[in-house]
Amino acid sequence: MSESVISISHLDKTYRNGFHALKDVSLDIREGEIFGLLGPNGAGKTTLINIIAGLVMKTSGSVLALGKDVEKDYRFTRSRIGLVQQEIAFDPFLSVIETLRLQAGYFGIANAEPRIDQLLKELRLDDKRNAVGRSLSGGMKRRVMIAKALVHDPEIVFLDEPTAGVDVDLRENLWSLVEKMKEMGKTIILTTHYLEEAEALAQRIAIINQGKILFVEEKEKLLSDHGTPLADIYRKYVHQEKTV
Amino acid sequence: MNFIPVLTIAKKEISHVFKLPLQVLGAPIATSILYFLVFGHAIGSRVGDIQGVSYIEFIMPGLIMMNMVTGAFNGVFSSLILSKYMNTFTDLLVSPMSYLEIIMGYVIGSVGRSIITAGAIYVCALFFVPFRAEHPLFILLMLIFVGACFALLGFIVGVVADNFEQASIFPNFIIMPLSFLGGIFYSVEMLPAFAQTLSRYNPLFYMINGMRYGFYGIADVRPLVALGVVFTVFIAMLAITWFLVRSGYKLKQ
Repeated sequence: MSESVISISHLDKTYRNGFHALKDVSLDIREGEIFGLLGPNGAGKTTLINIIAGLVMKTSGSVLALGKDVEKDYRFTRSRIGLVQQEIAFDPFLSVIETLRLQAGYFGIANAEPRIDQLLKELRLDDKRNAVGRSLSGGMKRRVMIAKALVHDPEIVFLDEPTAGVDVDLRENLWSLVEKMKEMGKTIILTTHYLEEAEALAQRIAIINQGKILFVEEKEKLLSDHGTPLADIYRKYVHQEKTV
Repeated sequence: MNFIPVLTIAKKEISHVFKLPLQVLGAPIATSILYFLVFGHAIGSRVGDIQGVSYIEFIMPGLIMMNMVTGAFNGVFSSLILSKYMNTFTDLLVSPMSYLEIIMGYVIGSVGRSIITAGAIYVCALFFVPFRAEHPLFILLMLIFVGACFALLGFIVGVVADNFEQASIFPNFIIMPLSFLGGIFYSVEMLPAFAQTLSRYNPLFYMINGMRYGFYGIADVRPLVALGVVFTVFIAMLAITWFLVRSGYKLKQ
């Protein structure tokens, strides 16, 4: 069995407004796997990811990435984590290349040009390198978000609904990119509302609802045990939770 | 300390001078020239010398200081509030930068930008006043630390304010009145006793007089006192900013 690259233990998060977003979450994510984290809106997926990435402060519990505490050893962990956020977030007045150079600078990379060139090619952004953010289509913006998250060549990549609102062509392009990242040995944590996406990509799947992890299971075992598509399993668990 | 991220932020902030030259340089230069023409030339000729220098020379250091503080404040504040609106501040929060490095990046960038603005205003001022810099090192220290004080204030307001309306209170209702009351256009010796005492509670009074000392060797306050006050304000601003960022207030949930 592969080693855990992320180890979450009894994680709890209550926001200042009193919303209890995560309830005693414990989870291990293995090295090199694609981990699908599914759940309805407001289930706690983004909160969980943001705590690991450093955007949200936990209330209690512990989170280790590559064996280091994400708060105490944040320099170590953040330089090894890449986050593709749900929302498009980059300066619309900067060009694609300027955006990526800035991002590389924030991560302390002195000569990022070879890496940026490689990413632009892989994400089919090469001809848009000098285009300013506001002139890009929604799909292109999403690619820039992915390029930003990968510019420091992280070992762990969080993809928080990366294909929301993108066309079929780009979705397939992103899927193949995810597969490629896996081949390169990266660990990928994917949240998505497209269950067929999780079914196609993920090796293990967790369903989270109302701040609680309902189950974590190998995808193959999950599908064979239930004998139904993932969408039906998802509906069954989330619906059960609602009726409890 | 990793200097690449710090310099990345600083470079981005300074690049605004070249990307938005009319806004960053043009506006303060135009305003200063108007002040030189109206107050310096038209009114100054009737006022005569103050503390041994012409009126236009007397007001020049204060005008540089006023533009410097508003530029340093507005630069950081607008960058920060825009990055909050665009959600790009998260790029810094997920990076391996420490809070101090983030603050330093903004402060160095803003100070650099303000020094360029101050230099440009001074070059324009040379059309009205002869070149004279009695204590150039003192001028540089004042530019760096005063710029840093107001860059930090801009950072604090950028974090705390939810919109431009809230933040406009500072430049319009606090910085500008304190600049004018800090003695840009007059010496405190011209004021009644109670107003003189009141002026000494205004940090801009020390900043403007410090600058005047740097250029002409004249001031209403001892230069080391001016420098001491500026340094104390800098430390206080740094402490507040550090505490604010560390707490995650309005930056992290």
